[in-house]
Amino acid sequence: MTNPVRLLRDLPVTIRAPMLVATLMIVVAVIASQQVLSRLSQTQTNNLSGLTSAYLDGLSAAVIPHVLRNDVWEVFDALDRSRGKYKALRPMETIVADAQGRIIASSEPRKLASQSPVPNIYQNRFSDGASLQFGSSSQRAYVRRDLQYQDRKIGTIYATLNVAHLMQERQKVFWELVLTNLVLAIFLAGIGYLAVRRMLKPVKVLADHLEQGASGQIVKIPSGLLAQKHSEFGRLFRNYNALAKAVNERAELADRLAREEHLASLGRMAAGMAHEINNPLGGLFNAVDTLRKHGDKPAIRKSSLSLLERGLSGIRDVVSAALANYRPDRNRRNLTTKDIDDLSLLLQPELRRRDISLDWKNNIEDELPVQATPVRQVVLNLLLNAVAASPRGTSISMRADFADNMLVIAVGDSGVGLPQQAREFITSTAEDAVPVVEGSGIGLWMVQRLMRETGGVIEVAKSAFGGTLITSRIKIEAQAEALDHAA
Amino acid sequence: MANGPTRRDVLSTVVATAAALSTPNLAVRAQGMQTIRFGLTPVFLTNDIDLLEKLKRYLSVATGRNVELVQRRTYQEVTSLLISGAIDAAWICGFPFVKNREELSLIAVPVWNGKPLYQAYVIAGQDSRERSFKDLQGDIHAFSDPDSNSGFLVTRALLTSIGEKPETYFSKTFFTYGHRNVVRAVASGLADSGSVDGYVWEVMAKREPKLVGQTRVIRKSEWLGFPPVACRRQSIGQDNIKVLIEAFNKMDETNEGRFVLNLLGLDSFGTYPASLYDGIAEKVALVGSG
Repeated sequence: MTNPVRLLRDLPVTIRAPMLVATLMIVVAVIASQQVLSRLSQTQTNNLSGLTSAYLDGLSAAVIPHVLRNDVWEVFDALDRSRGKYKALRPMETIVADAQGRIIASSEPRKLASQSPVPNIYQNRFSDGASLQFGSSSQRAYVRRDLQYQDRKIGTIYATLNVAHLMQERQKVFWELVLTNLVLAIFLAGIGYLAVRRMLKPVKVLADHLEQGASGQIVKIPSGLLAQKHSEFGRLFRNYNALAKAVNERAELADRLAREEHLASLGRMAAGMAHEINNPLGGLFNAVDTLRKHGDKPAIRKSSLSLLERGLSGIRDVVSAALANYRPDRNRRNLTTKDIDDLSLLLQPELRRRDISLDWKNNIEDELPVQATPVRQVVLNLLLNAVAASPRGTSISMRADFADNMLVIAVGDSGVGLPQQAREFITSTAEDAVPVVEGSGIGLWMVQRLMRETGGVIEVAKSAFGGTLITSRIKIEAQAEALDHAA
Repeated sequence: MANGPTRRDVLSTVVATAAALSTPNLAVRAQGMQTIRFGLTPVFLTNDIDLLEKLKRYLSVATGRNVELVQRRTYQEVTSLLISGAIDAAWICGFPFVKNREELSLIAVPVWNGKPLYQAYVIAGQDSRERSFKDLQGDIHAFSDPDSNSGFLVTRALLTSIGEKPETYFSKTFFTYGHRNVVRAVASGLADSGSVDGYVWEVMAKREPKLVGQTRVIRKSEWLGFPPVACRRQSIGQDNIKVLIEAFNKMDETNEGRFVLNLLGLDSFGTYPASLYDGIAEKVALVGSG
């Protein structure tokens, strides 16, 4: 169901305003007409009352001597002669009765014969004591006047007046008012429509520009439309143009910043890559050194070569990961328990250098359908950060679990805890989050970016060593599907 | 009236003649011109101010004297003025003439349809069921004047002859003091019937057919002497009366006189013996004895 108020509200203001003007005009016209008609009615009644009084005064003066003598002819003659002389009053029927209520003469002797009693209907009309009464159709008025002579009632005049012309006049005035007001209302509504449309033209200009601005660039209002310098709309337009200028400038700034950010991220990527390559280098050199010293021992040679291979493979992975940023969907490899365990080997040189013990619990047994490289990088970065944060001779921990389709890797340190801003940054999932703390290293930035890519979240808590415990949770969707299929 | 243009033509002639005739009289008037006071009873003609003007103008011109027309409401008032000498002459009715025959003399008698006679009519409403005089019993009856022959005496005499009186024969009677008013009273229905001058009714029938058409003649009386112009008997021989007799008798000899006669619906005025009114005298005698 359509709501008429709503429909009205949806109409353009250029239609609504003239409609309002027209409606108000009609309301004013109706009230004014009502007043005029009421006033006219009052005036007509007063006039009629006055005319009637004059008529009855004249007639009384004329007939009183004849009523006293009960002179039928003279009373009739007075009535007959007065008949055509009161055009404004139009008496239809006049009766002169004696004190006993018998007709002396009437203007219509055939209907109201002399000597007959005045019909009751004439007397009953004035039972309430009034001397002027209107008929039910308002076409007739009835008047009564007692004839007094020396303070004694000697008779009564009853008159029936035709007041149809008054009603006709009232009708005529009514229709004239209706017609005049209608024409005026239409005329003024038209003027209102044109005036309001002209007044609201700037609003349309503004609305068009705003609409255009919403779908693209905000365009300034051309100076040709800014004619009225000191008008409200003139000021509004200039303010709008100032706003458009500011918005456009801001958009340009944002563009520039985005470009700069893009370049910066490329730089950070390069630095990250170097960092990732640098991380295993210590272990690899260590393996080379071991080979050089104990290469003749088959067991040591084998484990060193394996370490070298895994380290180089990690470097290759970092490079692949870097390349993957630009060429996605290549080198996709699922995470295995070995990918996690590798990290402890990569970490060994740093641990020894800082004399830090590692509490390592890798509970992942199977291959998980999640890309190995980003996860490895996240965990490696967290571990390196944990080592860097912990004082010499303390401990760090790593625990990896897979439960409820969730890969959970928690890294704890013995440090003094993360600064608040670093904590806010690392737990943020926003794309444009920027590490605000200088010197926080690109490790955290890498973690945040990689977690965002894998769809995981970072939680920060207190570690068992009193330092920071950073837990990364990655939901393994495909695994769930696989399990569903298995079931 | 229908003959308006003709009247206007004649009127201009009258005015021109009057102007021509009045010029030599200016000298007489300046020396103290004599005035004739002429009385009129309220017969139908008193309604026509134009007619009175023309009559006055004619009489002034024809007599060479200043004529003053005197009107009263009733016949009796005019008759009293005449007998008392307050007026020189008057156009009265046959009934007061007969009643005061010892004191009055005839100046002129109007001639209507070639005769100095007229009838009294009893009329009723056009739509009334009354067919004869007998049907009028119990009516509201309008009389013209208690001193009018046709408007009262004739009907009263008729009732006397059948042993009745107006006040008992009719349910109510009233006087309208004018023959035209009797016609109006009956036409409007105020009165069921009325007694009226037949000459007045006939002339009115031509001039006001709408009004008269609402009435119907129930009875016409015998022919009776036409209401005469009379003066005091002792005034006969006075200059005023002499010029007045001549003015009436020669009315049909001048244009302006004929114009007045035309307005009155009469042929002329003539000299007739008082015996013309014997018929009326008989009725007076009948009523007096009854």
